[in-house]
This record gives sequence, C-alpha cells and structure tokens, in this order.
Amino acid sequence: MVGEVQFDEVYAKVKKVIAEVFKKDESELTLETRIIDDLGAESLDIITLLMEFEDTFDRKIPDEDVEKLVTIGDTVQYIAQILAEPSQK
Amino acid sequence: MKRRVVITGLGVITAIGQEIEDFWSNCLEAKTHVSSIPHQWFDYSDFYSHIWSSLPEIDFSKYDITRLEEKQLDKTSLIALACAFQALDSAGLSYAMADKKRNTYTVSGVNNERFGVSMGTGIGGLSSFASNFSYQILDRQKESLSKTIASLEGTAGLEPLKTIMARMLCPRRSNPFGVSMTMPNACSGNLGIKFKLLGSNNTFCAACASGTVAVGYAFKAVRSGELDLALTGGVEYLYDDYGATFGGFDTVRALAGNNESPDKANRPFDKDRSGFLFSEGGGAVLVIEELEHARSRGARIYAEILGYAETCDGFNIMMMESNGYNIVRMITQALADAGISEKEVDYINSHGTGTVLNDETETRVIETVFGKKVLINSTKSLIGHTLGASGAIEAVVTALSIYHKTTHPCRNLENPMRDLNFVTRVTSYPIRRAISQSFGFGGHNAVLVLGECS
Repeated sequence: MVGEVQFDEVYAKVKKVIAEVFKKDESELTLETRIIDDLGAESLDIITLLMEFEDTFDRKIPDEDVEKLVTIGDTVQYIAQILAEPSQK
Repeated sequence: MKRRVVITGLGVITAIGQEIEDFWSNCLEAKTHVSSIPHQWFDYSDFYSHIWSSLPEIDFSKYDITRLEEKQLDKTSLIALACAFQALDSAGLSYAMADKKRNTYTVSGVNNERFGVSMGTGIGGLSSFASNFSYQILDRQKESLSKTIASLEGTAGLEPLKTIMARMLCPRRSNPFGVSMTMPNACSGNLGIKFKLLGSNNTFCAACASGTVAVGYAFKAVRSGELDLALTGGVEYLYDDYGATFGGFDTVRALAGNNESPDKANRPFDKDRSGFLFSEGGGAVLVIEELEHARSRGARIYAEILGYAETCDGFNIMMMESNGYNIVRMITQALADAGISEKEVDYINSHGTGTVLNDETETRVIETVFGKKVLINSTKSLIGHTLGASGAIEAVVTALSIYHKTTHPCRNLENPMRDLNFVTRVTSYPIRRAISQSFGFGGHNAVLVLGECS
C-alpha cells in the first residue's frame, strides 16, 4: 500500500490540512508556499499541523523533523517518504 | 445608589434541551433523559447505580466552532462557547468576525474592556485529562502486549490476553493541547478569547456550587461598577472511557440507585429518594449587565439579580452540616443584600439533589426560614446533577420562572418527605422574587436572589 502512495495524493491531503489550519483557499497554496514565512505560522499552528498530519496519514512525526518542513513541497516530500517506510504506528 | 444588575441573555446545553426554548418547554413538561451507563464501564468495575443522564450529541458546527477547535478544546469549553453564542443572541448582542484564522469575534456596540467573564466548574477538563492519562500509561504497554500476542499467535489460550488488550482504551496519540484542555480556567479563558472580552476573567471552583458562585461574583462586579456586562455561568463534562468519574460518586453511594425503574430512580424530596442522578454534563451561560446599559440598547430583561451571599460549613469535605446553620445564615445575608424579607420570596429553585441528607437539611432550612407557602422545585429532578454547571442552569430556570410566571414540576415527587409547597403542576404562579441556592462538596453554600425588574 505504502509504495502506491502517489506524491499528488499526499500533496492534495497536505494542502487540505494547511488550508483548514490557516483558513486559506487551496488555490492560494503551492509547493513553494513557505509555512512560516508566507503563512505566518506560529508555534501552536505548527503543533496543530503536526497533529493533523499524524491523524491524516496515521504516522508519528518526531518533533525534531519539524525543521524539515519549510515549504509545502518539503512537507509533501517528507510525508511521502515516511509513508514509504514500514509503519511504526 | 447601588447599580442594578439584570439578566438579558440565556444559553443552555442540557440533557433535555440545547437551546432555551426547547429546554424551557421540556422543563414545563417535566421531561428527563435517563439511560443505562455505558456498557463498557462494567469491564472495569461493578457499580451500585447503573443509570445516568446522558447528554445527546451536541452539534458544535451550528456555532461555527471548527473541527480543529473540537479537537483542541475540552468539552467544558465547547459547551461554554455554545451556551455563550446562544446567550449573546438572546441578549440581542451582535458579534462580528475579528480574526478569520483564529475564528474569533468582537461583540459590537459594547466596551469590551468592561465586559468580563465569570464561569464555574466543579472538575474542569477532567475528561481530557483522563484521555491523555490513559494514553500515557497504556500506549507503550499496548504496543508490547501486541508484539507478545503476535509472537504467540497460533498457540492456545491467547483470548484472555486479546481481551485485556482490547480493554486498554486510549487515544491513538497524546493531545498536545492536553494542558490547556485540562485546566479548569479554560472555560472562562476560551470565552474571553472567542469574543475578545477584556474585563476580569475568572473560573470559580466550588464543586456543586460553582455555577452559583460564578454568577454571584459577576453580579458583584457589575454592581460595583468594575464591569458593565459579563458572560457568566457554569459548565461540566464528566464522561471518561472507564467510568472512573462516575465510579468516584458511586463508591460513596451518592447516586440514585433504583436500577429496575430508571425513570423513577431520580426523585428529589420524595420519601423514596436514594441519591442523585449523575449527569454526563451540560452548562449554562447568562448575559448580565447594568440596568441602564441594558435599557439604553433596548434589551429584553428576563429578571433582575437582587442579591447574593455565600457561606462555608467548615465542617466536612463531602457532607453538608445537617443543622443547616450556615445555610440559614447565608439566606439571611442574601435577603439583606437584596433588601427584601423572606415573606417576599415566592419561589425557591432548590439545590434538591435527591440525596437523603441534602433534601432533609434543605427542606428543614426552607421551612424554618420561609414557612410552608413558598413554591419549591428541583431542576435536578429533570436533568440530574451537572455539578458545577447546576447552579448556572438553575439560575436560568429561576430567571425564566420569573419572566414567564410559571415553573416546572418536581418530577417523580409522589410522596413528599415534608409538607411543603412543592411544584407538582404547571400553572400560572405569581413569582416576583425567587432564590436559587447551591451547596457543594467542601462546604460551599451560595445563593442568588432574583426578582422581576420593575
């Protein structure tokens, strides 16, 4: 199942989560959108994002990996990668 | 001259109504909502009482509370928000979106620096604490057990292990908002945030008297001139997966025990009463404001708050003092504060839990202070005991009873324990002045005096 997860599928879900958390229209979001610099994410937003990503993709995201999630593109890449690994959760 | 304080807005979430009109008509019909406690609780304990007043599902989206807010706020805060939206609407106070991302509002046409919040809760975010606590103690143990079971798959006798694992209930993750969900002051804090209310903001914790204490303090703050308006009330939510909270009350035999006839078990002031009906939760929020402030904006006035007093038994952490001395003292102080005599009180919304001791003490006090004529009912005979929310819900009932000049019957009161004027039927009653009183674990006694606004 993991191997079949497509980048586009993850992108669509990530966009949906980010749009909900930041009250944005999905059309405003691109792979280049920066979560802190462009969307103005505060620390509680990041916590919310992590919680939503974990719930959406059924994976744990270690706190130290947050730094890797600079843009939406980075986030999609990161999640696609952990989905390709055997589930720990 | 003292500033006068009036009630202009009401909101409720209860087992028998999640908006004022429904709630009030169901009160007058003496409806109740009793059911068996969740079956899964019997996996963890035996209980004397098998019944509770469960809370029908609440549609928070009706108040534009988002899915994310529902995940990040304890039910007590969500109930407080739902009640507050209703109360502002009923007060004719409009609000406009201030911050789309935060989903917060500002109330239009009022000075928000003079708009405060005063809430009560007995146990606060216990439900969220229990949920996070179960994750903390069980998540890794379940993982180990799961691996052990997997390694033994195919061998005999695994069923008991699988059953134990299935009963280790915990959320799939620790909620990072756990602290802000658990803290009791979250209910008032979240109201301040949602509506950008910048006046004093407090949560009072006085067990089953919390709601009454909260309204009393809001009343004093508006009367003294510290505030012009307040959102005030009480909330409680007592569900947990294991029935531990229910068990805490059950084990001291405080709960209504007639499991064979659930609808008949809860019977305050009846000779056959056996304890209180545990409620899953609920809440009420009132808008109170200074009289001229209310008049200047043409607000509907449900009732005036005339006085307030509280005393402490200083006696026992779970038992009220049976001589009622400090309750009499409290009522005397409250009537003096209101500037009325006991003869002017037409109606008492009692604490009326249905426990042997409460009802015995309370009725004796009532007869001693007020005699036999005053009307008495117990809202807990309908909705059970919502602990810290009860005083606020009962203040709402008292205000509505004054406003509509009628009130609800005492459900299941077939053999009154004392010859007093209990409400047994709905008819027109000349209710001009009333009191609503609450007594809480810890010895807290609190009473509000309400009257029609002349």
